Amino acid sequence: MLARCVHCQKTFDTDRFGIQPCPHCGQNLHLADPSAPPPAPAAAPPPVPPPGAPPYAAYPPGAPGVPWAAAEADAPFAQRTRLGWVRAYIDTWKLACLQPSLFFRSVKITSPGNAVLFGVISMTVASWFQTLYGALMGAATRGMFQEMLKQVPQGDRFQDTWVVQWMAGATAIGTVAQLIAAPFVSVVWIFVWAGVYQLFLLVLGAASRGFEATLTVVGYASGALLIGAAPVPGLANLVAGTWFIFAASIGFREAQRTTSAKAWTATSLPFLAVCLCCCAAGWMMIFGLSSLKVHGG
Amino acid sequence: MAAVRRGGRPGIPEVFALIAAASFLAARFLPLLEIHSECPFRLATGLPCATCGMTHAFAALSRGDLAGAWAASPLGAGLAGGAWLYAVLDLGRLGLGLPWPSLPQRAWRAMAVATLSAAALNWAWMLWRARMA
Repeated sequence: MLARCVHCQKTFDTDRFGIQPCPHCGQNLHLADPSAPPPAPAAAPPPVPPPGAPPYAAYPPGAPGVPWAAAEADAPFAQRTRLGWVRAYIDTWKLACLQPSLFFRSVKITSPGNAVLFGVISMTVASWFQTLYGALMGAATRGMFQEMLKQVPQGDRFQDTWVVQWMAGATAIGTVAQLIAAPFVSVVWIFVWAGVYQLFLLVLGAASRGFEATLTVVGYASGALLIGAAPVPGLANLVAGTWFIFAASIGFREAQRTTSAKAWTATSLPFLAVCLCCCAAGWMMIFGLSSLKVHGG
Repeated sequence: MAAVRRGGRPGIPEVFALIAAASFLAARFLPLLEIHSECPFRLATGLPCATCGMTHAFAALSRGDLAGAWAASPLGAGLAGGAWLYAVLDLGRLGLGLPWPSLPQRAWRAMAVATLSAAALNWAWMLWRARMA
């Protein structure tokens, strides 16, 4: 069939509906399937798009429970058997992380298993790279870690424990255990955080489409954590975590059909609670590093 | 929650049940308390954070020490007990092929409010206890 890109207005041939990149300009667009079942009837009719408007654009967030006017489509990752795993993953990553508003507005939420698998792959790959870096820098990391612990109040309690060896990747068993545990930890992380976010969304009255929508958002937004695979320990994780928060917040707003304020509040509150501990840990780390500098100088 | 109402087939509730069961196994058999980790928030401020005592509560309850679990964190004790009870009930439900109970959105919201309120109360009590100590 012949399709027209809403971005560059050029036409191209395609054999499928759903989200796909334009071969001319590279922008992703959503071709709605005209044979797809119509949305469930509602008390109020959905807003009608202006003539010529793309199906996913120009729709303000509706009231909770009001069906979205834009047709929903499978994420490219859900079509991985046809597209191929690599292309499906890359297309989905670009949509979820670079165009989260468009993606989460129109992605189907009825198969959260695809989103969870996508997130698990992203987190596992990032974790494997981090483990590899840890193993490569094991001895140096361990020495620095132990020096730092000496400067931290009660840090000597950590010395020569298996935790230090584990964190420094100093043992082969620890490294292998990290590699094996990564996918399982990723699954637990995605489900637990989806549950925590769902709690806050429910309290705020912003969970109109249920836990599947929340799990779908957390799964696909976890793709951002792949950035943690970059060989910049610490900074890569910080960027990845921040990117995840942004993608998830936009995702909750679009997938749960709620407001930006509620979506950002639901994402920020548990993050702030974690931040209390992380900030304290960061403060101690900075304190320890500055003490190292003083001692070294 | 349409996708989780079906009976006899594993779904999202079963994943949570498995996570809860895994938390029991970890608390019971892994040397979690040998880590000797201090909460960074407590070290920096001298006060417990919202989740302080959770690991001790899970580990104590997995050994049948209810008083120890309660003393470590009332919320942790409740969360551990609730999670493990949920795991047993849900896996039993799955084994019997019973459907997932359908609850209205209002009930889910009430449970969410109760959970977050319990977490806030737990933290307030932990802070009060730390100041009294």
